[in-house]
Amino acid sequence: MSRPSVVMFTTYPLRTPRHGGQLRARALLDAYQRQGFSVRSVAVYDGGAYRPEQVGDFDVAFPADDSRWFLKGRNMVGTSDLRSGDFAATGAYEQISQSLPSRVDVFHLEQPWLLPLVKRLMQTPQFARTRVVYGSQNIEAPLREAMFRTLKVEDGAEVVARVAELEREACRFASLSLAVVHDDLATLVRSGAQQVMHAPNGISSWQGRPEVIAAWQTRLAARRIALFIGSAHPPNIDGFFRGMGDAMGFVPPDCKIVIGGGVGSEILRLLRQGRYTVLNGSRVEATGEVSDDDLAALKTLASVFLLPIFDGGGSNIKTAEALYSRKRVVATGTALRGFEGFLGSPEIVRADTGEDFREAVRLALVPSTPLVPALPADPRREKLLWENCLAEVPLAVEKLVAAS
Amino acid sequence: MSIWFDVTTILHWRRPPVGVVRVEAECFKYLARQPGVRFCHFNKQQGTFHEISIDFVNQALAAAHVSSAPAPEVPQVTREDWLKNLTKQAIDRLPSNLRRPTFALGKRGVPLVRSALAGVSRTRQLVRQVGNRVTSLRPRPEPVEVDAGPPPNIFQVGDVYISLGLDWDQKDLSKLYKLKTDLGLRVILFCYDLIPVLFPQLCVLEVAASFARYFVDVAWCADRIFCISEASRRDLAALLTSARAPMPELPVITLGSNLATPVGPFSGPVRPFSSKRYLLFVSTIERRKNHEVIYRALVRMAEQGRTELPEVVFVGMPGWGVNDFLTDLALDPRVKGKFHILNHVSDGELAELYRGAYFTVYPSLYEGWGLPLAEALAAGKFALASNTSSLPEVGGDLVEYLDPWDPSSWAERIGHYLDHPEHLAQREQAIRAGFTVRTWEQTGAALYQSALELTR
Repeated sequence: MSRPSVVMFTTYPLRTPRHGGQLRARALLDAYQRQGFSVRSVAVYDGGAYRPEQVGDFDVAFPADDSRWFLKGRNMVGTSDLRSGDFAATGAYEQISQSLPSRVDVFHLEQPWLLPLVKRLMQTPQFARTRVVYGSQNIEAPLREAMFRTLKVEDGAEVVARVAELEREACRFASLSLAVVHDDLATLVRSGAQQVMHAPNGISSWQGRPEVIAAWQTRLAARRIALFIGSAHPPNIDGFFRGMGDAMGFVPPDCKIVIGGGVGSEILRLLRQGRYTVLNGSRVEATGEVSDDDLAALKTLASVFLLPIFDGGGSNIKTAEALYSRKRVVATGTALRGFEGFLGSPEIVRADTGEDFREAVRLALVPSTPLVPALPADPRREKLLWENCLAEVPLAVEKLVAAS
Repeated sequence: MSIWFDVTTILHWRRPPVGVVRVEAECFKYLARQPGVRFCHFNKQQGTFHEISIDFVNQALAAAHVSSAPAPEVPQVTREDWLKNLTKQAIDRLPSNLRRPTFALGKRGVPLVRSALAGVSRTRQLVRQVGNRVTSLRPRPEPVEVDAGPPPNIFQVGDVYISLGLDWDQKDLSKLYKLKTDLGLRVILFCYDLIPVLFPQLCVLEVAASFARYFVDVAWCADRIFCISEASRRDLAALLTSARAPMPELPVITLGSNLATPVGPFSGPVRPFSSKRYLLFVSTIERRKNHEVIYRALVRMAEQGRTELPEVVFVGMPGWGVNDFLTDLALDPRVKGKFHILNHVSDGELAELYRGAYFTVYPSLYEGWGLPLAEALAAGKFALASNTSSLPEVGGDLVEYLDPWDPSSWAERIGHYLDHPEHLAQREQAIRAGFTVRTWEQTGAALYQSALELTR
């Protein structure tokens, strides 16, 4: 029998994954591939957000100037995913349907957004028997509701209701639904999922190159480094300030807070306002987007990983990465969701208030606190790697296909 | 274990004293007589601390005219110090084309101190090289920055380091922090005031912006930060809390206010005042000191028809941001000839100026302490002072406090005391009875005791 054929649908390209959603989707794709599946990813992506070299062969741009971005006459915040789904099932449908392989055993729907497209495809005789696997990264509706509340969007209820319905429908539609954390798994069951599976978030291992590490050591000139990595996602900015505050006086003079990823420039801009401009500038270094080599070097150099995550669902890839690092980790309870088994490890410090968070960071940076000694091999940490934490998924999918 | 006292500020200072220099100089004079105290300065270019002899610091003090009292008896200068200083001074005297080879000598692995210890012959050879070009080995006022080669670290585990100079300008606190964390160096630093943080508009902006960082770094380096008033302690504690910095011990130390013995007769620009009476305002002339309210008060008095305006003597250098004000003073016909600016006044002349004053004024908008106010009281002179920051701590109920923003009240009270010399006499009587002069010896002793505590 030929190996299963899987097409994965996302709202972001997977060629150069950066943010958490991309990383997870790509890891799932890789897991299928390792199992010998025939795989293809199709993204319906924001045409204004990606460069050509970041886009895959079968990805379809939702043009940035397309009027279909608009809902109720405006480009309403928090609705772009929904708009992408509508566009995929209408404007992009012909292009996508014509490019698909003749036989597809599984549509892997990563997040619910492109469900309208999947439903329409399955109405065709060609894909009538195709199974759906739904990868739920979060329970989106409550997150969207919280975002509207924060941003004071008054007419967001209708959108929240639509997202909730989309998620329920995805559960019902899918033969297999994947949850990142156990809480989400229970929600999926309540939403009518036929079969559910816990598939936690993981990471890829890294190895810093000595010359890159040396270059960063010279640039940072710091005795100890605390590393915070994040995309320019508003909750990342908010989390940083809730955890670290706006004055970096608790950071020793010979240490640096290094912010990797797109979140850094906005944080730095905000830190440079007010009387602590020079102080904060002396303690914080924002690298911006950097290469994987640079990121590996920074992770190698870091003495402590920071996870000031106060809101959001699911579990965080950043958390898995920090836990895998075998360095000290200062994290909120929210950040540690899904990784509760690590609580109690001496190098993991849970801090749920700004005051506790800063004190934990200070303690991790002062020279009187010993660095975390080299830890013995720990199977729990090895399980954090994508290849281990997602290993069951292709097996389950294979069974699904075999049974159909 | 040693107690190290940093004299970098003394060595760099080439002008008449300001508060910080005076504090360092006076404390030096006390500490130079205490056992176990050694002296150092920081070479910012090299990022290194160097030991320096008492003798050399005394010479630098004399050259900078910052000494207000007879020089104390100093301990015997060691042969090592003597050789080191001799060499330093000799190199410093060299023409620029000879300095480089001399530096090179050091860079070939012959640090100055070791070369001095290794043998007098090399020093002699060096001096011979200098030959006739050396006309005098008396130190110049310039600080010596000619150490050659990488110096060994002068500090030992558990030593105490004290610095109360212009550290924001002359030190690299990251180096000090490293010494503290690597060696367990115990550190005593000073906080004079938080003016650049609280009133950046009164300072050069680029400088002001870096001060919050400076104080945070001070907090990381110091085991104790001596604050010169309750007000500055309060302000510093608030800043460190707000910046989320560590909070070391913040004791308050009272600065000395004893004056030099008056000297006379006056010479030069000070001479005309020996036969006059005047209002005296001792302070650098800068916006924060609010000289302008005295000018406005006199204008108000003139406009109210007062024909006999008092003369006013400002003792201090014009500083930043006062050009327009000084132009007003010079050109305004209503007060023409009433304001006099003196600087380069010696301590003895200053004491004499206090003696000749009707009373003193101190309308500063903000102070860390207010040394001139304490000195005025030490001289037995009444003062009108502003009711802000630390000034009420200095003068208690011996001083009359006014709103620094209200020229009318200054005009009224100045006029009152000029018109009622009997009230002034009562005030002076109260000062004589109630003001206890804090001596610099006491200040130095408090500092020394604190350092001794940290060695235990």
